[in-house]
Amino acid sequence: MKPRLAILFSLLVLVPLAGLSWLGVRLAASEREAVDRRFEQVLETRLRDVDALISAHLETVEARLSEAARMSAGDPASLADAPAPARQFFLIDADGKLVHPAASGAQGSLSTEERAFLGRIQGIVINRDLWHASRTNGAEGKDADSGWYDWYEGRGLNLAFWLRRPDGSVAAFEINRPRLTADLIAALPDTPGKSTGAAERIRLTDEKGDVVYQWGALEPGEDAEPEARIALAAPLASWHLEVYLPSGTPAGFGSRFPLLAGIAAAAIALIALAFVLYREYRRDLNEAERRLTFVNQVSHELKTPLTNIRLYAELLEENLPDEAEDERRYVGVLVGESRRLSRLIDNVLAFSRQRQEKLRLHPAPGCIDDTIREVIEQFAPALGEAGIVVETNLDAAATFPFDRDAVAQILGNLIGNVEKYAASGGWMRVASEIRDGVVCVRVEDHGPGVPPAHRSRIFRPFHRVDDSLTARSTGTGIGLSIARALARLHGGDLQLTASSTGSTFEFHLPLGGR
Amino acid sequence: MKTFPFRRAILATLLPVLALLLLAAGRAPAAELDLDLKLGTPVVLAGRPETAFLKVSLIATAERQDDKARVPVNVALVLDRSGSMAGAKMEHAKEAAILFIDRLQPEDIVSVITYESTVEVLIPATKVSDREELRGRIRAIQTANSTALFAGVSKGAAEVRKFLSQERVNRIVLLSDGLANVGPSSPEALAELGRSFAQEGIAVSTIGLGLDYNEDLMYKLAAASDGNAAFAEEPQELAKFFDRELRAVTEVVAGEVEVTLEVAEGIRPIRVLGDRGTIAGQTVSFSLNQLYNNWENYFIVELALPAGEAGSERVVGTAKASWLDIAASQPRTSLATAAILYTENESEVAAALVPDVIASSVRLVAQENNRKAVALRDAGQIQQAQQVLFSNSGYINRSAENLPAEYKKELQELDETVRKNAVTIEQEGEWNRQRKQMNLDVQKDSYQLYQ
Repeated sequence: MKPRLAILFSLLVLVPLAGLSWLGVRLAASEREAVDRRFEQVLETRLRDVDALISAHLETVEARLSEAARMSAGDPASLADAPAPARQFFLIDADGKLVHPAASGAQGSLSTEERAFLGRIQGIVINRDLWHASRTNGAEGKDADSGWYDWYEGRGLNLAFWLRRPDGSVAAFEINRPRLTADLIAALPDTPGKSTGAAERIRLTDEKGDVVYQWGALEPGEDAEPEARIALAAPLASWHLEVYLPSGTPAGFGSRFPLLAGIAAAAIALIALAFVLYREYRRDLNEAERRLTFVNQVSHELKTPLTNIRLYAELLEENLPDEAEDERRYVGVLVGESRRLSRLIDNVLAFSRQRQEKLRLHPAPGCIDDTIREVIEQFAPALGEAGIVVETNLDAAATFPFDRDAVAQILGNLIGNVEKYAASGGWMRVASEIRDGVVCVRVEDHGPGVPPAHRSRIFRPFHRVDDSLTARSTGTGIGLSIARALARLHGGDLQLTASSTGSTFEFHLPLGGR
Repeated sequence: MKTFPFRRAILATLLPVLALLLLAAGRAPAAELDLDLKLGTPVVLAGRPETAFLKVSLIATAERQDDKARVPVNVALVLDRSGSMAGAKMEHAKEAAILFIDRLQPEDIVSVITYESTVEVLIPATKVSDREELRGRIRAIQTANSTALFAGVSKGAAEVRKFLSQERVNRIVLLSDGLANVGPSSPEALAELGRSFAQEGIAVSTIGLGLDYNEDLMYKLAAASDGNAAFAEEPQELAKFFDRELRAVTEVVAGEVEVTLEVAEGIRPIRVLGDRGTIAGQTVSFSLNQLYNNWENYFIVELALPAGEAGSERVVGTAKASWLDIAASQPRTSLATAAILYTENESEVAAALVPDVIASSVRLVAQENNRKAVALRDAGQIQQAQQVLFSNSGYINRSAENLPAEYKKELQELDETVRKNAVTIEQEGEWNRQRKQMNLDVQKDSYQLYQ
């Protein structure tokens, strides 16, 4: 009873609380997502501003290199010292052939750097590819007199800036990547020691994801995730800008607090409710407990005088002379009623013991048929009065250990029920037999029977079949429950078996006892 | 520009001829460049192909300038403040930086950049006027986190570029005690960056502190940009190296030095010793960011000479140096030529040897060998590296034998170092320190770093 109760009350609190929390969390999460999205957009806009700074720098590079290429229209050699961040100037003629530095010319006339350049582009037809690229762009009818060309080789991303001349040749500069990187860094903010505003960290990462440069006072952890990340505009499209913020921003505690408070309040209310209900329940339980104790005590108090009354009434009955008819009848009523009262009290006491789990058996070897006969004998006057014809069919003469009082109580309850509820049938049969080492005792009647809806419930304590049945007679509602409990204590059982007319109760006890 | 009003006044008062003369003269030259072509063996045996070393030597000299009148400098101090600098290193670095700034003049420009995982332009490029303010900012430097060396150098260059001028000595002084771990960090990338700075006339001098810095990165950056390199094993040495750097920048008298050597037809330039300069056909070119007062810079070309007739003389090549007289802000050129004489007499060959060129060549070749030894040691071939050093020692000794005493002594000192290195190269615990020192020695000799 106790653990089940605990589970019940826990469920009462936890289920609504869980539902509430789930809803709250979902709501907060979706709200947070929306806030995050907005925040991310804001951050991305800021990163775009940084990207614009980088693009602006690249534009100045474009302008500087275009100018240099134009100035040197006639003489490629004059660009031996290409302006920063260019590393090497090269020229592809209108047919897509590299004419400067001339690979076909005498190797001796090339400088070490030019030779290194040819080594770098060996294996990739940068001249042809770049030349084609510049052609294809031109076909789109756009402004494609110049542009960037990128390829992956050696340390990673390589860049070239190209410019098509009126004669169809393409002048291009291989970019000194470290220098371009250094110039970008120079154009980006530094990290003042006494920084004002919120701490953050912005990172520029290259095509391998390595940090090229970073600024901002925040030092994010090793595995920190950026709040926002964008790719740079071409030609550095494989580079990224990332922004890191202190963990917990933006929404953080602010939006989570009301949710947590709401859930906490609901939890407190539910726990209070459960507590009140539990107290009510405890009070009822205690009340019932007290009542039971009271009934128990009263029964105990009644039992002794009743036993005396019965004893003396029986003594009186035996000693009455045969001719004192009237007196004999009066005493018979006395004996019968005091026995009924004894059974009632026995039931109450047994029930109370069962409740306290103190119901015990005192088995002793005996013949069950003898006990059955004694009980029927005791009931004979009452049954006769109710007009019930008793038929017996006893065939269990074996001697085996059982509690005589308990069996008498079981039978008494069954026969008492017949007397109370099935007198209309005017017939009762008690049969016993031994079947497969089990003693079976059957009590049948031709009364109104037990309605099917009640069949499974009649063995529960205090269960009463509807008023139409019980209105005419009284009862405690614990008889069958006690009878079954006693049968089960014996290692047997008591059942209501199916029958066409009336009802048939059958109980069986194992021959070997428990 | 400053002479303009003066010139106009003269125009107004004097004859146009005189005015033209003055215009041509411009400012009086402040420095002279001694460009010298010297063959190690100016006399060779006739009748067979020979090889010879040709030394192209540059020594700039200027009137002894008093300290007030020197060329103004434009320096960015780029200081490492990564976690490993904490304690004595940082304190000495700050002290050295403050001393450096204290000795600058009001016309000089300085900027201070610190780097860890991020970069702070602590003092943007400014004239050295409010020293106390600058000192205060340097004293407030605190150490933190990692090492964004590349970004530090980039920002340093940006600060120098704000006042980039031919009339100043433009320089970045980079201090690092650790491995660059944020941003590009390969020695090649830094070298490429350094080369592009050199084209603008910005040199990067590097000071490696302690035993944990990446000497390949630091030395290559310095070499590519024509700056100095230093190895300060103890923080106490920082002040010395900052001081030397200051001395160096104030001793610069010539800049934008471009030397082209046209080798005569029939003679083939084989290589330039010490990994410098470029050979394209008959032209050997060589550039320097600056020349220090009375400090010799040179490069040595190995030439393949055809067989010649006894008694005949042959021009080997002509060198032209174009350079900038910084104090006078005037581009100048110098010329020099060298010839070789063929003889049948071996004693004449021996008598004509030029010990200076021989000693220099031996030094460069010896350092090339040292470089090989380091590469072998890096590859784990310790025995082979040791072997290279031992035979290097033998080479130096043999070459020094017939030289006059002063050159002999100089080479013997070199030999002593080589032999010491040969012994310690197999000592695991010593290698880190030794590698830094060996690489620095190679650089010092190959590039004639200012000391």
